[in-house]
Amino acid sequence: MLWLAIHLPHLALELFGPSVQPFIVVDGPANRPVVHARNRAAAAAGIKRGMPLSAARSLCGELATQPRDPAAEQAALENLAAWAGQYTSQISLHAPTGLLLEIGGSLNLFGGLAALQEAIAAGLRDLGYHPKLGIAPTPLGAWLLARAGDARPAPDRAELTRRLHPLPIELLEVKEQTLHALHGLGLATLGDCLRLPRGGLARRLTPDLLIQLDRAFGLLPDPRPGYTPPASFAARIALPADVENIEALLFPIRRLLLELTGLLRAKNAGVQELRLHLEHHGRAASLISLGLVQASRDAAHLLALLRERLDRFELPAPAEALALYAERFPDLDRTEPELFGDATRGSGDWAVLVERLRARLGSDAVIGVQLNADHRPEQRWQETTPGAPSSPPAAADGNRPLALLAAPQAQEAHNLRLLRGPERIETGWWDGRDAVRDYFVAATAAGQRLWIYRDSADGRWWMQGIFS
Amino acid sequence: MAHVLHRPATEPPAVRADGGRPGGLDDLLQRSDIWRGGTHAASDHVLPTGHAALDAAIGGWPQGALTELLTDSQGIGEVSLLLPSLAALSRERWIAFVAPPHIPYAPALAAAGIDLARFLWLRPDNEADALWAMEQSLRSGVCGAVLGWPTRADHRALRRLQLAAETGNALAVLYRPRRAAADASPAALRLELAPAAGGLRIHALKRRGGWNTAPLLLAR
Repeated sequence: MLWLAIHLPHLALELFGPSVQPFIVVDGPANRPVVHARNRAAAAAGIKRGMPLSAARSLCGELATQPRDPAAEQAALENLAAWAGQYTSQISLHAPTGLLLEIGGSLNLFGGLAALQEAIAAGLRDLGYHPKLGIAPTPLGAWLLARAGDARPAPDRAELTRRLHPLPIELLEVKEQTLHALHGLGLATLGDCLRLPRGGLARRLTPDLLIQLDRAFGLLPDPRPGYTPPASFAARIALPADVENIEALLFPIRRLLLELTGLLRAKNAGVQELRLHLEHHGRAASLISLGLVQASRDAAHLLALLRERLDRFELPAPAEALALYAERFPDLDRTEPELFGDATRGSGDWAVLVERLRARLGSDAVIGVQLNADHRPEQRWQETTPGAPSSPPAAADGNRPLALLAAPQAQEAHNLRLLRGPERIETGWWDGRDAVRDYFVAATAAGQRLWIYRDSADGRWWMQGIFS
Repeated sequence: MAHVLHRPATEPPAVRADGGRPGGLDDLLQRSDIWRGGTHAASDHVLPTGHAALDAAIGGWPQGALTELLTDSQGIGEVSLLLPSLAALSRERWIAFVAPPHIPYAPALAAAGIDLARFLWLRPDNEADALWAMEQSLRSGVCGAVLGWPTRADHRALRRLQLAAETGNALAVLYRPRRAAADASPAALRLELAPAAGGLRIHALKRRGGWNTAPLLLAR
């Protein structure tokens, strides 16, 4: 067993999207809130943790504030656990700021410990978090190393013991009075605690502390409840301050998509439909739904599609939060045949192109055409999803014009030269009259070729196509 | 990668345009010096037009480059002219029509040998989107040919399309009015098309590796 602990010391702050403006999270009694966490810009303005909000405001005029939200912290932690499922199936939450990943079985798959550690660290930074990692053969040992900011892996218990010894006892999760008692005994490090006779220590202190130490050093088993990834994806990000331009939404959207695609990798699946909600103060959320021709789990591709949609989207009001939802995760390989049969096509890139075009132009503007088993010219073809196979053409199709008018146009026939025809086509029963049309290929004096017909009911001439 | 260039068993009847005899086109496709689907060849490769006289005059359609067809007329065979090449390209890659003035009629396309399962009809509702869609389709490498009917295209837009055609090794064809001939253009090939007695008159205003040739008459 090898455990990788992720400690997110700034989770309460970082769960909100990033902000270049001074931004703080406040906590404490409603009548006297204090600064719980602050971003770099706020720190640069002189704002410190524990400072009353009023004092922070006096230091910085344009200060964005949000109340601390433990429920959102828990939700963010669970989203990260779902995201981390791409690296291992054995994950435990270590609330309020930690995740524990058993990575012993994943080392080969990800190219060894150093590569895996870097992949996870880089992935978390990409999501906008600043994590501390620890690696050790026990979960609590890994956690203590992460808390201590010691990212060097401790691959075995001997090394772990050596590294835990100098750590301060404040890293343990024990009551304040226990800490006092330990200090009173002159104990400052985990190593100090271990050097005391176990019987005496256990008698003086809570057995709980002894259990923690034994688990950290690997003297006692430390079973952890496993995290089960959710059946559907729902994640929300509250923004540090209201956002009025789309650009500022891209980073939080990207984080949501990275979390989603991490979950998709864990499920070995893709996504074909997703919904983005932009939440506004005091009015209904704006909904942007995305449907894909082919299931994908490429965050960059999904972001490009959403971006195309957002570029043409007018925010009805400033956005204060956004949420991403996806419920169905089709197999990546199986989606194509379901949609389009097994018609042979070129590379799979065509679906990416079609989606990109659809995202900006709209689905109605990106279509394919196919033949219909119908002899009437207007019904001989129909619009379809790009990529859909078509039945083979018939002999008569070889005489048809390349361009069909959306509706036949009345045509003066006296200055036309008839080159070919008539070809009689019965059309009557669909426009409510018993009529036939006699079709001709005709040339204008200027040398253009038209597809025209004479309506046998009234003898009038119409143009329906152009031999372009 | 092996590319099967022989005519599949389900191949529809011969292409309708003149000169597009199946045998002749196949012979051209067997030649080793022409572009093959899936390979990104140098941009000076040409695609046989399927019309022997036209090939003799212009060398073929420049693959991976922009071609302008300048005409003020519809219905003179201005699109049929491309059908033999589009049918050949369609065996491996997609064909896109961007903002054509009328419905691209599926029966005629299929009869000409274009695989409708690889045909895209894009109908953006404004000019900026049309140029964007052309550029995306060209650049993607998915499309073997992209035909566009822009209402406005300045030099910068043409330059972007030329670059996108190079990137995606695609045949880019723009239909523009004859008066555009007065403007400078980065296109590799500019042909002026006009109706003539019994056919289509083609005048090469610009082509790579050559200057003005006498106008050519292609029978319909």
